[in-house]
Amino acid sequence: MKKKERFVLEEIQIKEEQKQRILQNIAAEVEQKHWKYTPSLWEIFKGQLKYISAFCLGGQAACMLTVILLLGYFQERGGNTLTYLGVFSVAASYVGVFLLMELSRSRDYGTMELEQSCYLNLKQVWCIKMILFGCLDFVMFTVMILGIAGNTSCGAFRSMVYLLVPFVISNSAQLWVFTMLRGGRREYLQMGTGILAGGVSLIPLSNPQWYSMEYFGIWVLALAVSLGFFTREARQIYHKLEEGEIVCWS
Amino acid sequence: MLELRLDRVSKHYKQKIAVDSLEFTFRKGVYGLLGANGAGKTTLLRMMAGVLKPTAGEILCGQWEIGKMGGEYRAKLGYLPQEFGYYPNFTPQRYMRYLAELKAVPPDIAEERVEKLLEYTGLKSVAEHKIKSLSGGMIRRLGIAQSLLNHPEILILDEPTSGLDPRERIRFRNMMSALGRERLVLLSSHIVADIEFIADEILVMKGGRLIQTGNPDEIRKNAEGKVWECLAFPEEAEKLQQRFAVSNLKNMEDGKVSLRIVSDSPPAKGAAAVSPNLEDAYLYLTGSGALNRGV
Repeated sequence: MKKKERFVLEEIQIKEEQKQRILQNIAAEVEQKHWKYTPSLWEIFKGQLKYISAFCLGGQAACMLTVILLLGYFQERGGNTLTYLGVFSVAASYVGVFLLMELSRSRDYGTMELEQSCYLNLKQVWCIKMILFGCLDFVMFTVMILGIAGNTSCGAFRSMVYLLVPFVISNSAQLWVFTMLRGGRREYLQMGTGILAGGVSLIPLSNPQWYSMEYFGIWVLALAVSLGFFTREARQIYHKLEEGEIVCWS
Repeated sequence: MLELRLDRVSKHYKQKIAVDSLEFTFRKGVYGLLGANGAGKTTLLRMMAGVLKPTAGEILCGQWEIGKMGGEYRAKLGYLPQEFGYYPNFTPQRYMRYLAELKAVPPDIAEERVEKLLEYTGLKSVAEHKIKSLSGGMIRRLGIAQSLLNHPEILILDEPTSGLDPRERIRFRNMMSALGRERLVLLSSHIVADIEFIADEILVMKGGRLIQTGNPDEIRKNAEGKVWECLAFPEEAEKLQQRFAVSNLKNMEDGKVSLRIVSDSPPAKGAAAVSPNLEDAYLYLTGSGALNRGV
């Protein structure tokens, strides 16, 4: 039996051309395997942090620092409810400006199409940036809410609603500008919208009654409506990203 | 085996049909996409790069629809958009590193890959300069370099040679010929000569449809017996230009004009049939060039 096997093996004809082709395919597979790499979530976040605009990240951090300093100042000087609510409402409406400026960078420089074709596409990169900026927002809101709740008669929940209304309205308006308008100078319009929203958030200060418990229902309603509008705008952006509309014709 | 298949792919924009039910299978090799402005080339490339969703039909990589493959498909892809965007204050090196992160190039080889590609595309000396200070040709080369970062199996390049000088174009052609041996390269260009030299297969698009596919010789054969050369006085030459697709025109020393005309029948008395080149065939197939269609 062994003798026969040896005989058969000796009879096998090796086609040099076919052998080379198979070896080439194996080499190509090995080479390709070397390029297959899935970064961890930590690596992705670390990587993105390196490339976020210093202006946007710095602006967001400066905003947070200002709020902390102001809180300390008001506590020392004994600010009233309206001072706390007025200043922090403006801060709440400005805080989203930096994230939206960062997200707009790809559009403003025309890199969206290229970034969307990468392994980590635009949608994923935007999610990472939103999480990073969202963490800073969360810290800032916690400081502001605790500051208001600790120094005024408004509880934490009411303070949260009062601050979330200008925040969501400002972000919704900026998102609307982001999706509706095409062409240059949008970044300024977007920033202008945020600043305008900051001004609008001061309107309730003209009548302190607006911050009383009687009107709280209206604030909750305003929050619900603005959240609805925000969700609609966010869904629209997601849809336009999926279809490629926002990527190819910005 | 690598295979990218268009299965009745269409893209509509409201009333306009940009790409109309295309069917084609791409394998390893270099494919050249030719067509006039508005023929649907960029829309097709965008859909194949996964940045634009088809209105109907599917693009399959092997057996899978590319949209469903998501990151797995994008990891195989290198793409150069027609309008290559960049952050003007980044240096080429920083931009390449940034894109290497997005393309999930393994960190242990990313740096070496960036350096190698910058050298390969002749950008090493300006690697630390801001991109906004680079010339158009250099920026285009940066675009080509970034498309190769992740060692792509599928390389899609939209007008890669626009803005390149003749020397850079020759270098690019050689580069593509070498790359096409082991991957699928699909490029579009307005410059017929670029496609002629490097493409194994040419696809001609018109009105969102593929009107002809084949190797350069096959494409050329379409215009066999339809290309003529003749001499004419300037006034007559002007009339011929209005009636026929003129692929070349040269003023002679004796005051006459030598014309190369694409037409089904002899355009003028004494016109001699000549063998077609790819440009002639392209004119013949797309019917562009003549005000009064003579082809």
